[in-house]
Amino acid sequence: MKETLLAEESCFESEESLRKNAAHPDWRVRYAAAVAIGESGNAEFLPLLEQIVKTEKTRPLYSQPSCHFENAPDDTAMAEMVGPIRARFDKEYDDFTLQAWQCRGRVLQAAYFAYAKLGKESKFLNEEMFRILKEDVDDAAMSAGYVAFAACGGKEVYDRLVEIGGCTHYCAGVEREKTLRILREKCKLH
Amino acid sequence: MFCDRFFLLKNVSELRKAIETGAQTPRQRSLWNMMLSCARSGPLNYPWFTPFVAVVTQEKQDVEKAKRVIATYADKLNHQNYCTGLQFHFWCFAFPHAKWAMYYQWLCALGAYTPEEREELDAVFLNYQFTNFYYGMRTKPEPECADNQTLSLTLSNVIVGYLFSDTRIGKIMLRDGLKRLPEIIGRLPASGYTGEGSDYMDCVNGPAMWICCEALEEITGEKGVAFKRFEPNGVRPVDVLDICAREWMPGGLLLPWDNYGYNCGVKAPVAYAAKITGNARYYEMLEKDADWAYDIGTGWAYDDMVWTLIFWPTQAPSVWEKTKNWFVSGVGGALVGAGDTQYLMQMWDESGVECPTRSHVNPNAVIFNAYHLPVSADGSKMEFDCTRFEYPDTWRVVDFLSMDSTSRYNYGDGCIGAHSCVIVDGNESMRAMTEYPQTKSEDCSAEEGYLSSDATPLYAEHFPDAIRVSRKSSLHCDRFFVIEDDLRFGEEHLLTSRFLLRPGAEPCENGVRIVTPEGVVLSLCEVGGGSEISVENVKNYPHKPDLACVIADFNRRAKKLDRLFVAFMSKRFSDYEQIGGFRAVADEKGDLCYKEAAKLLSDPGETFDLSLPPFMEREAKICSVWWFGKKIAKKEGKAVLVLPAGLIEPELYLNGKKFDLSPYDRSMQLIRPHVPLPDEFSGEGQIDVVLKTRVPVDHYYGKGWGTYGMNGGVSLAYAQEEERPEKIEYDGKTLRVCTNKKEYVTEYVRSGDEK
Repeated sequence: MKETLLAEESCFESEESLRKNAAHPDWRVRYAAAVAIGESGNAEFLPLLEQIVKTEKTRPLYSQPSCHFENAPDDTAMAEMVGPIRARFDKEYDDFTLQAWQCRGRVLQAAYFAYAKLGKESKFLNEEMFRILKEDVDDAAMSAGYVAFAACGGKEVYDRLVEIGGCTHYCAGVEREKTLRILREKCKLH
Repeated sequence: MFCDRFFLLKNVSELRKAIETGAQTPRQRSLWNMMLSCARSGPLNYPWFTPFVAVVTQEKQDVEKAKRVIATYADKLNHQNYCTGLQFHFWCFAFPHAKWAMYYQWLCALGAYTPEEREELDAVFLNYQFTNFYYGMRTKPEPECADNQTLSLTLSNVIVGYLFSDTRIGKIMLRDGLKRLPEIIGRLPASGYTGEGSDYMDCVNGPAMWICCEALEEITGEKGVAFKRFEPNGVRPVDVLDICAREWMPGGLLLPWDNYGYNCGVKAPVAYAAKITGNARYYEMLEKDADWAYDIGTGWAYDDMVWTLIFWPTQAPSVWEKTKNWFVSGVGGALVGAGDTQYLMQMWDESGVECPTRSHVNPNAVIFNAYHLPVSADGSKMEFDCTRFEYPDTWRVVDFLSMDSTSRYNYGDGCIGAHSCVIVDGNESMRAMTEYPQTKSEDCSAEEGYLSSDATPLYAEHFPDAIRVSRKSSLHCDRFFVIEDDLRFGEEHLLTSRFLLRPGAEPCENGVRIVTPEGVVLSLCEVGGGSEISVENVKNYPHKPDLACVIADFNRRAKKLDRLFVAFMSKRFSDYEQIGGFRAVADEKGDLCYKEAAKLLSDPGETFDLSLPPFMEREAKICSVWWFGKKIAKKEGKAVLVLPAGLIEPELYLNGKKFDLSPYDRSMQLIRPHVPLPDEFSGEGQIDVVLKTRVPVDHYYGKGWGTYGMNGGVSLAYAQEEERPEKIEYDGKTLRVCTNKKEYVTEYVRSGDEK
């Protein structure tokens, strides 16, 4: 984890490091890169952000089956336990898959929060987010997407959000209402 | 990470001195002994004690044990990534992660690690926080989310960010956490009560609040944070702590004010409140009502007693209140009589909209407690099979309880029908469907001993002709309560005053009488009668304390009804005589029979008072099955043997004969079984008492629902006839309650007549 942390930290140090680490094989570093892009507020990094989201699109983020744990239940009771605890799946999975399950929408969330801070519209990022909203699976990524739409979207985004309709998740639902209100005001819609 | 001091531990040498010399109270000394015994005997059984023990003793063996615990926790994190809990309920994991990061810092400040060890562990703690809980905090909409979840997440970012503020990631987490934390505190209701019930208040918000105060003071240098008003609502952290303390009923159980029902009181927020306010009420709670055997889990951790010891006030109390009665505007209040043997709480906090799983629909519900024992029933069915409060319109399907499937559950037990409220036309699934102020007005006086609230808006949403639906509770003669339901509608309705009570209903004129398994008696009578009374026994609800309850309904059709109830509580046993000096035998293989155990118990040796398992009281081998024995001297008369609470699979032998404890199977988790001894033990003499019980051997016995184990000790009491009302008269001005022992006379003016 020491090397991972060094790479994460370097994302905030120089543009060169950031560009290099945006394609890092470890999703944690890409997560840090997305946060660093947001921190920079520099719209020139928009293509880099698109690249980060493209990478996430290729990963099986939401396909994890239930896991069995030695010495712990699969619920919030694990929070208070120290261990030793072991995770066991019904069969062997490769590291690419396991890492995707650990990550879920973390990188996507960081990317969309960063997108909100860059303030410049990206058709690709919009389309990806519309896809995620339609899937209605990940509260964290969807919430960040709505925040980004509020910052970067216009009438077209508003119309498509209305067309997609509400969501079943609490946080995303709150952000959706805020975003629709902001876009209505921004586009002078009634 | 800084190592020149211990984060949040201001003066370790003074603390050590106080603990080692036992300079304060005997309770402080015994608490420390318990932690030391547990940390040394079973560091992975009682991991939450180990860092504190290491800091206090600074002995190599204790530091090594704490390091082993930290290493085990760090190893767990990678496996934890696949847990449904972490992925969907990340806030539960954020708070304990921050605690472990802090405990790791303590060990670093002790110089326990090499630079190489620290480099790796720093990265583990920091990275896990960044990718899980910085992510988690940002998931919660700002500023809308101001609840226990967001508070936990934000506080964790402040703590871990501060500990690692020499890194860029740490700085970002600290910056964003510090920006958000004051507003989250400030968005809690001004009363300090979040509406989430006792469990979330005492188990998350209270334990988070003292850390907020201490952390903000250490990080920002600001002083008096507990007394600062946080905007926009103007709430003070000390108000949150006070609500946590108010949720303790006499006897130490928390009000069954939400989905989780009765639970044990959480101590550290009370100790912190005692330290910063000097209020004698908090001191008294810690000395008289707290359970000191186990932690029920606070902020998803088991370190409540650690922090209680740290905050144990060193100064004598300086503030005394005039009355034990209290009320908090917009929330509720309690009336406390006859010392603190008579207790009624009335609540009028806002309920959840549409799906009231947390903030139940309980407008003006009343909770009774007498002689430090609960009398009312409230809570939820939890995992037990009970269809009684399942309504067709209260089903919900969710996908966040399991990784790859959906769950369907019914939240009807959060609706009005499952509470001691007024129900109109049998609409038991009534709940607010939109946001609006649910209470119209309130009128309370702690000094004069009454609580009154008008909950008409909630009823008017469903019954537009509702004119007034209010309840007033008052304490009279310091002995009994009067409850008045003032109900007015434009049309005639079936008006039901419902009371959910613990099982044990007996016939009673104009009302219902409940005798709890412990022998506390509630006579609940409608003054003047006139209602049709129905008594329904319900199984599998609520899950605590009895897994059963009685619904007592007072029904009458009317447009206007001003009902008066007298609630009179007494007991069928005398004051307790505490009994200590039990011999103990560890049944390491769990295969001793009574005869073998009794023989071993007859040998001389150390004795215990059964307020704790022996290995928690003194350093000894951890063992889960124990036998205890003592010859108890008793006087002439029918006696009640009061056993410790928290017994697990107990066996009781009286003079060698096994005694049936099954009636207490469920309630004994929280309440000491009061066992009436058979007639053959009525004479004066000695009784050979042998008790076998299993005890939890770690922090996690409760599998996330809190760990309960043997506590409270053994007492003997004697049977006595209870005081009960035999005649109740009211002439519109004077209320006379004649019992089998005394006549009580009090003036009473109906609320309707006042206007």
